[in-house]
Amino acid sequence: MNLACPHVALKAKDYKSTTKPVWCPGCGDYGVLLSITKAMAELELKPEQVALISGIGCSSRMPAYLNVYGFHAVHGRALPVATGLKVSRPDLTVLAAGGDGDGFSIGGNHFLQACRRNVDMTYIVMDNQVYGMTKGQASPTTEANWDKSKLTPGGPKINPFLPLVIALASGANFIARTSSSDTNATAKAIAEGIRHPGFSFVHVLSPCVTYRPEQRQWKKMVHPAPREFTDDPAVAAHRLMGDDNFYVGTLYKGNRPPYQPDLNSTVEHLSELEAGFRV
Amino acid sequence: MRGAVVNCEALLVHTLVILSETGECYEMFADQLKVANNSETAELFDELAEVQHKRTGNLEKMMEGLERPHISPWDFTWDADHSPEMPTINAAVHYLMTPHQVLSLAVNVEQWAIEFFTWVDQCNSNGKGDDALRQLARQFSHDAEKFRKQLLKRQESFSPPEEGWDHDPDPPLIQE
Repeated sequence: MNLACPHVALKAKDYKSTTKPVWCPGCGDYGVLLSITKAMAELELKPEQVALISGIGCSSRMPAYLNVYGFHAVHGRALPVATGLKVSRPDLTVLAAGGDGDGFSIGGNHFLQACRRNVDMTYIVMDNQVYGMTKGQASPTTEANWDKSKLTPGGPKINPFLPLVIALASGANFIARTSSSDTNATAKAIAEGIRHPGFSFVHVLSPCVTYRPEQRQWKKMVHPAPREFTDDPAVAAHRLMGDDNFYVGTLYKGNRPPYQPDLNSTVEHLSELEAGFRV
Repeated sequence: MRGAVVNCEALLVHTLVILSETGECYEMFADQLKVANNSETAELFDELAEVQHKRTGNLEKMMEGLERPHISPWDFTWDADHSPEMPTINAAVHYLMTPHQVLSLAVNVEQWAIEFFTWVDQCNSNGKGDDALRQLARQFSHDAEKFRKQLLKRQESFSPPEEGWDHDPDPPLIQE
């Protein structure tokens, strides 16, 4: 008797949990949630084979809204948790998600090291150039002259962090930028990032309509990058010199092999490990 | 627009996506506005979602037994600026929006759908496509037009938003 269940393809909405998002109406993160579910459906991922790890912030609420495994980590620490999970369970599809404050400020060093380490996972950053959850302070990607926050009178007055430049310089193996208003293109970038071996970085321009209402115009400001992706980091770097931060598309697909430690331990007893630390 | 819709099966799949995804989108907007305590517009979005689900169900019945070609979300014929299945998902809703604006959004969705079906019809004219496909495209366009008119009629019962409709006397942009 064949007891195998027939394969039933899941639809995008099947990857959503029953928890309703509490983001502000009009928030770009709704579009990203939809894109993640579309990508998972298209790749026919089994929910029990996927984990999404986040940090802290509005966009880091993402794991609650999906019915895959999730972990809402501490501020800025999505990537170390995701890295640990992936190296110990390489069979899983591991995604990390968060915002620009979480990923590029307190988590900035983890971002560099994750790009450098090149573990096979996909990092989705929803960039709205503001700390929305804590009521609108300047973030690492905020423009130098944005003067709406009382904490930074006259603006932060320092150049914004350039996520794509840092990702490329640090060794990320896949780099793309999308707009949350184009859910299908974002789904494609996420699906390609998941498929591509190594550390994939998907930078999503995702407006904060509450603290940066002018970002409602972003969907009219983005424009496709003039050229297809390259596998040459020097060419990608050159293209970034002309980037106005509104180019969308895949910039770079590298060929560096992902980092995956050998999990077959030769240690038979704990005392063998302890011996290494004996003074 | 890009690509082409060259047979009835592809048109049916495109139409199914238009109807089902707008339905899901309206449902999502309703949830967003419930959280923002804007119950009047939330109810209207719920109502629109129900209509779209009904239309989706009818089309599903029509497609029973037909082979459905698989099309990846990013391979649909429309492009991002003119996508009939997603009523410009972000920045389309506002927590203080009015029923009149909800109906404007829905009217635009139907208008985009009409333009899409007209485009399919035109692309397959002059003997380039089969008659059944053109007839189906015209039928869908007619259905969308009928619904668009109903929405416009309904919109007359609501007054347009006054100037300053989005003014919040207790705005969220307060930092200590």
